[in-house]
Amino acid sequence: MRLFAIVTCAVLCLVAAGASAQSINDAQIAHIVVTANQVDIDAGQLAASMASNPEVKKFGQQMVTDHTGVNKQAADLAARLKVTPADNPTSQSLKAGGDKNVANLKSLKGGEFDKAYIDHEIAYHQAVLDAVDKTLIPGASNAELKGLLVKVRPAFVAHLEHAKKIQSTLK
Amino acid sequence: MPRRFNRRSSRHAALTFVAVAVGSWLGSLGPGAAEGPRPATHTVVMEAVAFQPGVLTVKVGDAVVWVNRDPFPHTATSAKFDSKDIAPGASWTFTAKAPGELPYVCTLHPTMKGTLRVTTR
Repeated sequence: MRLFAIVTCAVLCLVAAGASAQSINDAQIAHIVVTANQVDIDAGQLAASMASNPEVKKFGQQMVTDHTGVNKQAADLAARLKVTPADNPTSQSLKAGGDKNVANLKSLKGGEFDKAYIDHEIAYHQAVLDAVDKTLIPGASNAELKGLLVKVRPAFVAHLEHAKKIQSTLK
Repeated sequence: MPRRFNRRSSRHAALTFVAVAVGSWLGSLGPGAAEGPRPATHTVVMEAVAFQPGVLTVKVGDAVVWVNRDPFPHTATSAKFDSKDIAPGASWTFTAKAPGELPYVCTLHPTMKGTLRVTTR
């Protein structure tokens, strides 16, 4: 629960502090999308090599594949719309939170690593979903960018459910 | 007696020929003429982590094509078939061989569920 609060705050508090739903622009949203995916790719790469449970390993690899696919689509759309993703406090907070998570995971091994990775994935996907629903979708002004967010949202829900299912088997 | 039989038989053959010709003409009208003898091809789109349509009814011998329009892989997996990973933009075809109800999932995304109903032709 504490982990969830920390991750949620990292995503939401800074979305609120740095750019409210009214003031956030498409260039910043594009940057947040790409950063949020990259953070999960980094953690997934670590899990794919360090996890001991085969399901956790497979999940880590899938996070790399899925979020890389979403990022390619986001980058293609940004290029087509001639939007240059703009760095912003939310992206910076996501990146810092991701780096901290990776550093913590690197200090763990075996079952401890698996549990910490999956727990964080659950909290992270929940927090990103909240940001997508409360800030990014309402804030997107370009219809195609909004459409992309709406279309990839179910993937985050599926990842969250998948991670919860794995978590229930780790205890 | 044999001559009369032959005449009737050839008339029967001619009528059969006409019936078959009309039947195949109706069959050529496309998927709308589903009652025709030709197997049809149905498409299930995989997009936004969902199968569309979620429930599909086909006849034995029909082909079902799953098309992945998401930017990451999906599978269509049931007790009777398994596509394995379908890459973004790729597709996979299954031909229904026996009647029955086949619930299926994407093994990569547990929230993604569909049903294929196969009925007799």
